[in-house]
Amino acid sequence: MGTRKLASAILALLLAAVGTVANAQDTREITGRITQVGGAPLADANISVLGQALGVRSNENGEYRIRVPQGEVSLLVRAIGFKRESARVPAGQSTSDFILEKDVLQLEGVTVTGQATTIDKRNASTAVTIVNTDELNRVPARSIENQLSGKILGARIFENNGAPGGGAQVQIRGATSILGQGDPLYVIDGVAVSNATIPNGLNSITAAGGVTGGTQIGGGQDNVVNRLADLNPADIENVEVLKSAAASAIYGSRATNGVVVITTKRGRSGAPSWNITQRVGTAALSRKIGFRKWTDINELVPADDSTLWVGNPDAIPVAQALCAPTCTNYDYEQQLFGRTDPSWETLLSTRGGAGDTRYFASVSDKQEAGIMLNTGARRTAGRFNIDQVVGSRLNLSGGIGVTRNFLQRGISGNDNAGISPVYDLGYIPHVIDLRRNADGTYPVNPFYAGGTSVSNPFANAYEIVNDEEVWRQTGNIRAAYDIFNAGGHNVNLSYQGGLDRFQQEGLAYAPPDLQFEPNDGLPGTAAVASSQVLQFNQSVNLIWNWAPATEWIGSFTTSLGATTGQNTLRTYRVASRGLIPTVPIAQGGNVTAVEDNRQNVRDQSYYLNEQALLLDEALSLAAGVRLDRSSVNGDRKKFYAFPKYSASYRFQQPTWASRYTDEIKLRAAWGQSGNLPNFGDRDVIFNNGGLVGGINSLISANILGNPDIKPEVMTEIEYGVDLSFLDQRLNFEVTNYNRNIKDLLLNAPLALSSGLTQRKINGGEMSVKGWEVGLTAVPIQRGAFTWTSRINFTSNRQKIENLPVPDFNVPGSFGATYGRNRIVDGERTTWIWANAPLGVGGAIRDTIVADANPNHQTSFSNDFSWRSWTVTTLLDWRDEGFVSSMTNNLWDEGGNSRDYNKPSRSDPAVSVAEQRYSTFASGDSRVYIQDGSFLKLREVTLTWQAPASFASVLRANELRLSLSGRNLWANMDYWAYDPEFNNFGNTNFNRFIDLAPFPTSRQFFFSVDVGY
Amino acid sequence: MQKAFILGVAGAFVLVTACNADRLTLPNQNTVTQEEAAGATGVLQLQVAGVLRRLRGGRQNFITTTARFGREGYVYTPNEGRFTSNFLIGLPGENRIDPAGFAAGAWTTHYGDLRDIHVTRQSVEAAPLLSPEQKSSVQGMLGTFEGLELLYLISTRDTLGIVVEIKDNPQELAPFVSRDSAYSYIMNTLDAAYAQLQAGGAAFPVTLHEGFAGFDSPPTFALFNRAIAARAAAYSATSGGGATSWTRAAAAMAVSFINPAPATVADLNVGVYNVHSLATGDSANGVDSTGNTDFLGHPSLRTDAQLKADGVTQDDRFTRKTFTLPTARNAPQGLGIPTDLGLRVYKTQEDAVPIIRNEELILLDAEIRLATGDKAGAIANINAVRTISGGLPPTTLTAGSPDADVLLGILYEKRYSLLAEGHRWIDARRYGLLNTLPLDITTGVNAHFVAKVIPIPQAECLVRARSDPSLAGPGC
Repeated sequence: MGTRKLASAILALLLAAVGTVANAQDTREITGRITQVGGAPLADANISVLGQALGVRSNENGEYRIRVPQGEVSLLVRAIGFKRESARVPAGQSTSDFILEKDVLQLEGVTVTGQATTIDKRNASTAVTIVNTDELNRVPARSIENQLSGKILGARIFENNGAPGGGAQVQIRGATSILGQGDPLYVIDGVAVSNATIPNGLNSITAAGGVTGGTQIGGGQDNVVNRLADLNPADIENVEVLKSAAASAIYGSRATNGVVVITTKRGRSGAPSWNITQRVGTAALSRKIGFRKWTDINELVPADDSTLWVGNPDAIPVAQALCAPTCTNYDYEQQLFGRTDPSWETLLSTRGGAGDTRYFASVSDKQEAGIMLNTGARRTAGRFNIDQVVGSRLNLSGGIGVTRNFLQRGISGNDNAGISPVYDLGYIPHVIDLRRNADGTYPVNPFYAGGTSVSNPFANAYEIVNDEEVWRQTGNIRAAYDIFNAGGHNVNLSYQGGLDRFQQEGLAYAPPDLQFEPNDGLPGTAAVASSQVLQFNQSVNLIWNWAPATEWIGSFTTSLGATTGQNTLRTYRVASRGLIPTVPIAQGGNVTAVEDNRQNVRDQSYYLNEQALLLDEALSLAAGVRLDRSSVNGDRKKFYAFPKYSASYRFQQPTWASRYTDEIKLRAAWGQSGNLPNFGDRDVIFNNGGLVGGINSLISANILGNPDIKPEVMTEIEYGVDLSFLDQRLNFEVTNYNRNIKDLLLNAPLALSSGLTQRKINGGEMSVKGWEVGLTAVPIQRGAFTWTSRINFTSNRQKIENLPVPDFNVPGSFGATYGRNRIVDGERTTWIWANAPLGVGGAIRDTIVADANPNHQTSFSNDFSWRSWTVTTLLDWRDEGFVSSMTNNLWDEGGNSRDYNKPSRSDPAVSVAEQRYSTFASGDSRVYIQDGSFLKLREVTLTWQAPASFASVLRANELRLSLSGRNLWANMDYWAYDPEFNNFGNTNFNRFIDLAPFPTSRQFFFSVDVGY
Repeated sequence: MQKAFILGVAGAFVLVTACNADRLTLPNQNTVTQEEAAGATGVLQLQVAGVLRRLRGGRQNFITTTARFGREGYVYTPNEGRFTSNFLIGLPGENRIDPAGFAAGAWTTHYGDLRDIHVTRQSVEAAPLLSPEQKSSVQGMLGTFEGLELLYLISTRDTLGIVVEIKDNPQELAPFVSRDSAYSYIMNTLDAAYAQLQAGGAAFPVTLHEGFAGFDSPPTFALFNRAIAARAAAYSATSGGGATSWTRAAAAMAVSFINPAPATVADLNVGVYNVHSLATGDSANGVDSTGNTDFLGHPSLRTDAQLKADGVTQDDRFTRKTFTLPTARNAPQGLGIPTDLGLRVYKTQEDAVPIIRNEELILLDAEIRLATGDKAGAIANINAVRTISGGLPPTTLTAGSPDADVLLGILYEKRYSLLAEGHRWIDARRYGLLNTLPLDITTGVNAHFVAKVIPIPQAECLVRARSDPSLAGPGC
C-alpha cells in the first residue's frame, strides 16, 4: 500500500471532521451524586451519555455535573469495582442520583479491542481475562508472573527455579512457535516493553553450555531472569490477557504468543490519599530432597570395589578416617539452603486530583532474602502517572517509571565445573563437615563433586559472585483531542508514544583460590556483562464513534491508525581466566574472551478496525485488519495482513431458558496474528571465523540465511458461551479454540557436502486445540458473610500437522538419555522422547515415553469475608505433565539419593535408588521421566480491616493487617523440588528439564496497610 | 477549529514520516553479509584466513579419530563412554561405525572449508584490483587447499567415494564420485594449482600465517603443493592407482621440499603447520597434553617401541611423545581398557600441528622408492629418520630383505615419527594391514574391531534420500 495514498485519505477524513465542528447543538446540564450501597460517596465514577465514549467523573463527594444534549437522554454510570447503573433522564429533569453495587465477580470493566479502543467486557466477542490489582497483589512473590499464576484462564505460568528475584515464563494457549519468539508481548500503558532474557556470563564459570569456559561467556543456562521482574506489581491497576488471534491481531506480527496488556494505577479526583504498606516476611526451604545416611566405611568404599562412592581414589584414606568406626552425616541441604533471614518491602503511594489534573505516584523498596547462603534480591522503584485535561477537548496523560533491580542469585542448575550446589551434593558423600571455618577458610573437599572436579560447595556459595544490576526507565505519553463531538458523533485523534530502556550489568566472579579453580590451569574467572535495551513505539489513532442510541443501532466505532516501533539490544561481555588474586575484574587475566552483539529491529504498521453494537447492545460485531512490515522480514517493503472478525450475541433474561438465567452470550471469533522471524534470519552472512595465527578471518555461516523469510502466521477460531444465573451470582464461561500456525520458522537441513548445514525456511504447520472453562460463583452471601469462588480449567493438545523437514530435536535439552521434545510429523509436540526398551525384542529405542503437557491444569480460588475479616486461598492442580528429573538421576548416580536407604519392594537386597539407576544404566530412561502432577496451595491470605476507631489512632482513614503465604503446602509424588522448574529457563518446548535447580521455598508475609 | 487542523496535519505528518520504508533498511552489525562483502577492500585477505581457519578446525577431530581407529590412542572424556565405544566397538553385532554416532565425523568441517574455498575462488576472480598473475597465485593456493581437504575426505571414506564438487547453490546436490575419480580429481586439481602457482609471480597479494613460514610465496608454496601432491599420488597408488600413480608421486616428490639428509630433528620438522594460540579469538591446540588431558596413548606404543643401541632405552620418539600417568585411566562407563600412557606430541595449547613436514616426506619417499624398485634408497630413508628422530641404530634391513619386511620397517618409522598426526590407520588400510592392529577386547558384547572406513554421515544420506535418492551414493 502506498504510504502517501493512505496519509492523504486520513488527512481528508480529518478535514471532513473538522468541517462539521460548527454544527454543535444546544445543550443542558444534569447534576447528581453517586454513592455506594450503604451511602458512602463514590469518587471517580464515570458518568456518560449512553453509547458515547467520553464522560465526566464524580468528585470526592460523589458529585458530578455533565452537559448533555437537549431532550431525553440515558445516563450511564460506571466505576471500577462496581456494577454499572443507567437511567433515563427526561427532558425536564436536571438531577439524577445513582447507587452502585459492588462487583464481586468482576463482570464489569472494559477490554482492549485496538490501539486506542476498548469495549465493555459484557459486549466483548472474544474470551476476556482480566486480573485486577486486588486479586494480583494478595500475596507478594518474587516476580509478577507468580502473582498471576492460577489466575489467568488459558495460561500456564511456571517459575524457572526458586532463586530470589524472579525468572518465570508465561505460556498462553500452548507453544505456538518452535524456533521463533515464544514469549507473549507485554504492553504497559500502551507501550510494548521488553521481557528480554539476557545471559550474564555465568557460563564462564559453570561451563554449563560448553566445557571450554572461555569460548562461551554467557548462555541459556545462566539462570537468566526475564525482565518482567523489574515491574512493581503494586503499581498495577489491572492485567488483561489477549489470548485468541482475533483479540491479539491488533498487535499483528508480534502477537501469536498472546498479548499481556498491563495498565498502571492512575490518579483519582479528590483530595490526595496516601497509602503506606509495610511488609516483613521470610522464606523457608519447603521441600527437602534428603540424602543417603552413610553408616560405615564398607558402605562408602565397598570391599569389592564395585562402586567408588568417594569418586576420587585419593579420597579413600580421608573417608576411612572420617568413618572410623561410623560415619557422621551432615545435612548439607539444610546448611546451604536453610537460611530464613527476613525479607522486607515498603510501598508508598499517593493519588489524587484537583480540577483538570489527576496524578498517581509511588515509591517502593523490596528486599528479598534467598534461602541459600549469600543470595538475595532488591528492587527499588518509583512511578509517576499524570492525567491532564486541557480545555474541553484535549486530554493529556503521561507516566514515567524508574527501577533499580539488584539480584544475587548464586549458582544453580547445570554445570560442568562441579560447583552447582544441588548438582554437587548428589555426588559428595555427606560425611564430612564442609562449613566455613571460624578463620574464614574452608575445609578441602576430597570427594569428586560430579565428574572429576573437586570443590567445596560452601566456599562456592560464599565466595562466588553472581551479581546482576538493572537500571530501567520507562515513559509514556498520550494526547487525545476531541475533534468533533455532536449529534451522537465523536471523532477523536490521539497520539501515543513510549519508551522502555534499561541497562543490565552483570558480574560473575570466581576467585583464584577456590578449590576447583585451578582445574583449567587458569585460576580465577571473571565475566562482566553489560547490556542495553531500548524499545520505542508510537502510534497515531483516529477514532470515529457514532452512537445514535436507537434500539437497533447502539454504536459504531471506526478506528484507523499507524504505529511504528523500534527495539535495540546491545550486549557486551568480557570474560577472563587466570586472574590476579582479589581483583574481580576481567582486565589482567591470562586468557580473555569478548562477546559483542547488536540487534536493531524496526516495525511499521497500519490498521483499520470497526466495531458495532447493534440490537439494543445484544449483538456485538468486530472486524479489523492490521498491515505490518518489519526490518527482520526478508522483504522489508512488503506488508503482511492480519485480519480478524468476531461476533457475540447476548440473550438477556431469556424467557426460553430457565427463570434463573440472567444472560446467555454466544461468541465466535476468527483471527490471524503473526510471529516475526528472528533477527538476522534474512541475511546470508559470513561469520567472523576468529583469529588464525594473528590474522582475522571470515567464514560462511553454517546456517544459510533466507532473503525470503517471513512471519509465522497463526489462524485461530474461537467459540464460546458465557452464562449468567441467579442474579449474576453464578457465572460460567466455556471457550473452545483451534489454532493453526503455518509458515513455521524452521531450519531445513542441507547436504553436509554442500559445506553448509542448514537453511532458514518457512514451512510446516502445527496446531493447538483446547478448552477453557471458568466458573465463578457466590455460593453464600448472607449477612456479613460472603463466599466467592472461582474455578479455572485449562486443557489443550499441541501437534505437528505437517513438517517439510526431517524430524528434529528442539533446542534446549540433553538428548535421548534424559528425554526431550522432538518435532515429528503428525505427533504431539509435547511428547517426551527418550530411550526405552520398547524396540523389537526389548531393544533400546528413542521413542515416545510420556507427555509433558498435563491432562489439564485447574485452579480453585476461594474468598471468604465476614465483617472485617477476609480469607483468600488459591489452589492449583496439575494433572500429569511429565518431567525429566535429572536431579534424581544425578543423586542416584552420585550415590547420595535418599532412596539408597530404602530397600526395593521387589528385591529387598537392593535399594530403590540402585534399582532405579541400574534400570537407567541398562538404557531405560523412563525411570527418570516422572509424573509432575501436583496440588499446590499457591496463595493464602488472612486480612483484618481495622475499624475506623483503630485507624484514627494513627490518624489514618484505613488500617489493614494481613498475614499471607505463598506455596505453603503442596501435595506431589515428585522426587525432586518442583516439577515446574526448568534448567534452560524460558523455552518454547523442553520446559521440563529439572536439573539441580535453586530449591523451592515457602514464603510468609505480614503486611500493614495504612491509608490516609 | 484551527487547533484541530494543526493537530490533524501534525498527526498525518508523524504518520507519514514514521512509516517511511527506508527506515526499515537496517544493517546487521554483527557480521558482514556476503552481498556487502563482495568486492569490499580487505575481504579477500579475511576469506583466505577463513580457509586457513577451517583447515585448522578439522585437524583435531581428524587426529583423535584416526588415532583411535589406528590404535595410537584413546579419548577418555569423563562420563562419556561413546568417545570409546563408538570408535572401537561400533554398532552392536554389526562391526561397523554408527553413521549417526560420534565416530562419523571428519566430514562437515572439511566440506565447510571446501565451500569457503569455492566462495573465495569466486572472490578472487571478481577482485578488481588484482593482476592476472596475483589471481593465478591465489587460485593456486586455494587449489592446493582444495586438493588437501579432498584428500582428507577420501582417505577416510576410501571405497565409499566422496563428493568433489561444490555447487554455487547449496541446496543443489552434487553427485558422489568413486575413489578412483576422487583421486584423479585431487591429483589434477593439485597439478592445476601447481601450474597456477608457477604463473603466480613472486609474492601473494594476501598474507599467510607463520605456519607457512618458508612457504609463503608462490614459488615456495609450490614446494608445499608438490609435497601434498606426492602424498595424494602415493595414496592413490595404494588405492588402485598402481605404477602410474607411483610415477606421479615420484615426480612430485622430486620438486617438493624434501630434505632426504636431515642432520637434526629440526630438519625433520621443516614443513607447513596449523598454528594455535591462546589469544582472544584464536583457538588452542586441543590435542595437547596441557589442554586435553583425556587424549591418552595406546599401551602398545610402549611394548612396540624399539630399543636404542644400549639395549635398555626406548626409541626417542616414544620417550619424547609420551609420558607415564601417575595412575592408570580407564574408559568411563565400564568400558575397561586401562592405560597409563599420556600423549605429549603437542605439549602446550599453543603448539602448532603439522599439515605436512620433511619427516613424512622422507618416509613417503621411502614408500615411493620401495614401490619403484629402489629398495636401497628406501632403507637409506628409513635410517635417516630412525637415527635422527628415534636415536636408534640403523635398521637391520638390507637390499636383500623381502619387500614386505621393508614396508613394515617404513610403517614402524611412520608410526612413531608421525604419531598423532593422522597416519597410522590410513597407512594400515592402504597396505591391507588393518588386521595387524591390536584389539584390546576380543570377546563379549564390548569386543573391539578395526573400522575400515568412516561411514558417510547419516545427515548427509537423509538429505539425499529425501530429495533425490539417485544421488544418495554407495555409502548411504
